[in-house]
Amino acid sequence: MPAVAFAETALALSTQCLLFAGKPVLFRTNSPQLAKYARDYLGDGGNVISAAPPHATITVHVCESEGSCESAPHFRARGNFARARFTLADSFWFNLRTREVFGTCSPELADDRRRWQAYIFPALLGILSASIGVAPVHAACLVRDSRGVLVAGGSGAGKSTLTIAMAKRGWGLLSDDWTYLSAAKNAAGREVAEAWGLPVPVKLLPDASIFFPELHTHAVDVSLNGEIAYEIYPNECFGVRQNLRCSVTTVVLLERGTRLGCSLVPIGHNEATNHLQVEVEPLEGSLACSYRKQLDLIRRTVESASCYRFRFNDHPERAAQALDDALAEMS
Amino acid sequence: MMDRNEHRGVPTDMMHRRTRLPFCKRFLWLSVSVTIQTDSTAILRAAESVGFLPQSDLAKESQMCWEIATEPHGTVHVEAWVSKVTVDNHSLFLSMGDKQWFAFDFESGEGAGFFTSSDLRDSANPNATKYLSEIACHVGNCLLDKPERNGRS
Repeated sequence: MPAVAFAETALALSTQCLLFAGKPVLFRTNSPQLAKYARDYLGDGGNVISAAPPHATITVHVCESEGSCESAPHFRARGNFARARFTLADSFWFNLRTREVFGTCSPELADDRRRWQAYIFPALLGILSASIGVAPVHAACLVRDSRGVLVAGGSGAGKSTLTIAMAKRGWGLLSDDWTYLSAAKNAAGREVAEAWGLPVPVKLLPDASIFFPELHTHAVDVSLNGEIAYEIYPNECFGVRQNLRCSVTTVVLLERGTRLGCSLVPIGHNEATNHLQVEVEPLEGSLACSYRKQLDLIRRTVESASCYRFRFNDHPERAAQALDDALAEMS
Repeated sequence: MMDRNEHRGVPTDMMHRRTRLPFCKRFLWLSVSVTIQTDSTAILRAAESVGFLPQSDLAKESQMCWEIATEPHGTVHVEAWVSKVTVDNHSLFLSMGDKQWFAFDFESGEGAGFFTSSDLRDSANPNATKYLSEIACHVGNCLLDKPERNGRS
C-alpha cells in the first residue's frame, strides 16, 4: 500500500499568522525551528488576523525523508494546482482555488535557514501571489521620506548594482529584484496600492566586486537558477537600511546607454505600465480573473506615479549620484 | 514562479502552465462525466484501459475536468515508481515518482497533473496506464469513501 499522509492530521504544533504584502497568511508546522524562521522572515501578522481571516494557509510537515538536501528545483503548475520542489527532500502542493499549500520536508532542510529565506519562502509566496491579490513586479524598490521608487529593467540592466549604490547613498532598500504590489485602504478609506519587499538576499554577479570592495570578504555561490553570484544580505554587507513597504511615487525604467553618462527623461504611464505588466505570468481559466486583477493593480500603481527612463553608462556610484540628484530635482 | 527570456518582457513558461493540450475526450467514470484534456494520446488510451467509458457527446458540460500534460524532461521506469498520497479537506495530491503528479479538488472536480513521456505519439504506453490507474484508484477511493466531498456527484 502506498503511504498516505493526511495534511489535516499533520502534527501542527505551531500555528501563526504571518504577513505577506499586507495579506495575512496562516503558517502551520510541526517544526519549532521552521516556525521561528517563518516568524523572523515575515513578522507577526497577529494583529491583522483579528480584523481579517487569513488569505492563505501554508502547512509544512517536517518528517523523515529518503531524499537528500541536494538542490533539485522543479516547478510545475496546471489550472489551480501547482507543485514545487527545491531539493530531493521536499515537496510542496498548491490548491490555488482554496489557497492552501501543503508541504513536506526533511528535518535537515527544515533547519536550513538560508535556503528557506532565500528560496523556499519567496517561491511559495510568489506562486500564491495571484490567488491572494498580490502582483509581483520585476523591479527593485527604493524608499526615501516615505516615497517609493520602482526601478525596473531587464536582466543585465544593472538593477541590483544601481540599487545597492543608491542604498549606500541613504535610500532605504525595499527590494533589488522582485517587488510585491497589493491594495490597501488608506486613512481616508480609499484603496491605494502599496509596494512590499521580502527580506531576501541581494544577488550580485561576480563582477560587482569591482564596484563594491565590501564583497571581497564574501564568496560567490551557485544560486537557485544556476547562476554564480554573490547572495548577500545588504544590511549586513553594506550596512544599508532595509524597508518593508512604501507607496510608489516614481517609476524608473533602466536602460543601458551606449554613450558615457546618464540621463533621466519623463515617459508616459502607458510605457511604464506595459513594461511592468508584460512580465507578469499570464494565467488562464479560473485564474484569469486573478491575472486581470494583477494587471489592474500594476496600472493603478503606475498611474499614480511619475514615470521616467534612466539611461546610463557609467560607474554605478556616479550613476546613482546622477539618479539621486535628478529625482531630487524632479520632486 | 517566473523566469525571463533573453528577450526582455517575455515571461517564460517556467512552470509549463501554458502547455497546449490539443486532445480532449469525455468519459463516464464511477457514474460521473469526466473530460480529460491532454497533449498525449497515450493518456486517452490509458483512460479507456483502466475503465473510463468514452462518451460521444462533447457538447455537454462535464462534472469533472482534468488536464494532464506531459513532462518533457526525464525518463521514467514504470516498475520503479510508487504512489504517495496526500489528502486534505479539499484536495488529493498524488506523487508518482520523480516528476509525475496529479492533484484533484474534491469540491470543484478539477484535476491536473504531469506525466513523463518521451514520445507524445506513443499510444501504447505502460507508464500512462499505470499513471491513470493510480489516479483512478486513489481519487475513486476518496470519492467512494467520502461522497459528500464531491459536491458534484
